[in-house]
Amino acid sequence: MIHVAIVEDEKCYADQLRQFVIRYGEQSGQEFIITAFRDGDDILRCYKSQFDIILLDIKMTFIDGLTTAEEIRRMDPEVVIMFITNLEQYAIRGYAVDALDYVLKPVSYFAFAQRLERAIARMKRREKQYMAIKIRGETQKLDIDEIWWVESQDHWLIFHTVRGKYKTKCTLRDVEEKLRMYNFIRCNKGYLANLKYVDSIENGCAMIQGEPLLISRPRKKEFMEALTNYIGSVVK
Amino acid sequence: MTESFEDIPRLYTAIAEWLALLVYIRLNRHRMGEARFWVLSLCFLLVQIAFLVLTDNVPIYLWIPCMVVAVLLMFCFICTCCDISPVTSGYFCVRAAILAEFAAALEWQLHYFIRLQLGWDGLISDTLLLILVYGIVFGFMFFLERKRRDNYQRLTITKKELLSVVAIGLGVFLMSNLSYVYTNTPFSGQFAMDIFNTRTLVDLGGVTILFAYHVQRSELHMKYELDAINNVLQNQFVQYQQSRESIEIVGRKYHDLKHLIAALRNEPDPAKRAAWIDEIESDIQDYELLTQTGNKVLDTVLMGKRVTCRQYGISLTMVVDGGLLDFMHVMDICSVFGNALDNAIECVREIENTEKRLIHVSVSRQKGFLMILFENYCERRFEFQDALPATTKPDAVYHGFGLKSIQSTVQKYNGTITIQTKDNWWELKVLIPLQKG
Repeated sequence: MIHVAIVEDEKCYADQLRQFVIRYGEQSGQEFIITAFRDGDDILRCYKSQFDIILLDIKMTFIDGLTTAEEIRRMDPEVVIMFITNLEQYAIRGYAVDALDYVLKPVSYFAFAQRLERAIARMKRREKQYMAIKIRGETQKLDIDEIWWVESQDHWLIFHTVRGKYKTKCTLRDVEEKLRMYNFIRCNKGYLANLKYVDSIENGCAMIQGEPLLISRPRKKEFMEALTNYIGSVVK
Repeated sequence: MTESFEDIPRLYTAIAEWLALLVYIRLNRHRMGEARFWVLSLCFLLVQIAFLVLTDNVPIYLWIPCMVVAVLLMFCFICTCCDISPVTSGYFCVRAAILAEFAAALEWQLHYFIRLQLGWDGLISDTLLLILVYGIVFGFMFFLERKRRDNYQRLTITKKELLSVVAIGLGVFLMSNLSYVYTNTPFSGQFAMDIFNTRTLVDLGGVTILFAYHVQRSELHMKYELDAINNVLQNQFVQYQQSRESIEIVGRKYHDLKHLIAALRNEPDPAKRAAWIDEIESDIQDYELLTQTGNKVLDTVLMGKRVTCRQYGISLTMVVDGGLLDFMHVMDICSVFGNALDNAIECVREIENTEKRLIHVSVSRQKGFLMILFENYCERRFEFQDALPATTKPDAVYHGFGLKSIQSTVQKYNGTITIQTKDNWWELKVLIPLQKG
């Protein structure tokens, strides 16, 4: 179920967008809840991070789209915001509110469906994923999203996470296999990094939470390509 | 009189040929899984041993045809294992054959020497010597070639190059084996040690020449590629200069028109006047916003490409934080954006339905990185070679440099590019780590 908000002051456009979302839903088998707002003010007044995707007209009477987007972004860093605009100019400052996509008016169904599909692919999956590890004989559940990196020391693995460090006996290779699909990749023999938390690259090290993880020469190409693909696939 | 001597056992030759092939096959990408590869390679070894041992005692006039068949077998093996063209396979086949000749000759010469001088003659010492000599020769060669491994990934040998290598190979082969066929020529040796010496030295010469040829060829090729990349870069820069000039002209026109509008205001008929003014104003509106991405160079490049897009009915959308590009050189911005947009435009132009001609570009900061994303709808399928798509244009050697040019530009800033296609969307991603501060 995907919750879509349409914020548009012209009724004919708002209706058209609603039709398009419904049509896309029928074609893709995806279920949608659609809520329409006449103005930026309306959506801000009731905003509780309940939406997955917001279609936002840039030019509205009372509060313009950019200001609305700024307010929304302050409350909800995850929601996908997609502008709708009739200005064929590219000085749209969407990047300031982390909205890197927009649809041009008059909206064609094809372009809209393509962009909607992309937005859905980039939506944050809200369900959590866990992995079980054994700590002193007891099984413990780790939220995969909260792991910063995994370090191998002798026969031990140390999970560095948001909630602290966890030590367990296991091989890095097994964990690597399990975590590959969650965008973890080795930066050298003893470290498995969560690409989500790589803040920057400094002096050949991937920086995670201020900690430098050395990227070894033979792994550099693969690591950087994976990082590029990852970052490129999560920008909204 | 020639003293009677034993020639290299055919078994040794077969093993040498097999090992030499392994050296070159491992350097190239082979197209099958590890397990299948080793099974196939063992089969080849057995076939080669069987063939060479069975043809050991054929009459002298059949000796050359037999050698040809042996080399052909090697050729087939390379062709099956590696994802390379027949011409390139031929190239490696010749190099492997000469390397095998050399290793076998050297081993046998040492073997002979040890047997005569030290009197060692047993299965164990023979085997040890074989392992030692082959291990050193092939191990060293593998190590040497692997240092230049980058060159193997996109290696395409031309027919002409193959011809020179075959000529060298044939020369070496004939010279080194002359004494076995005819003892009575100015170049033949009379005694076993003589003959062995000649053969080993000529083969060593052959291996060296072929290696030197390979190195030379690779360097030349690299230089040629670099030239071509610079050429593309230069083109984008020239385009940039041209569009900058034309935009300046448009700017001047804009001001002229403004004066004209002022004059029109004095027109007595108000209805007519208003209509005129509206018309002129809408005419110039396109040019008024010379786009403010925050980066002047980028504005100019984009302006030029937008004209092309409008011409083909392409919808070009973009969200660009141009200020992020300030650290990049003018030429580099032209190269990355010019080439990427040219590729995208060319790709969507082929699509019949203009509604599907979509291009989207975004430039944004993601934590400590600059992310540039080019996306376009695309119905064509691409074959990928070494992470970059192989060009679809017929003139394969020259094109595809647009992407290469982007790559080499981005690498200057320690950046990475990747290309992915999914659900009919082509995505070119550029990631550049930003300097701190």
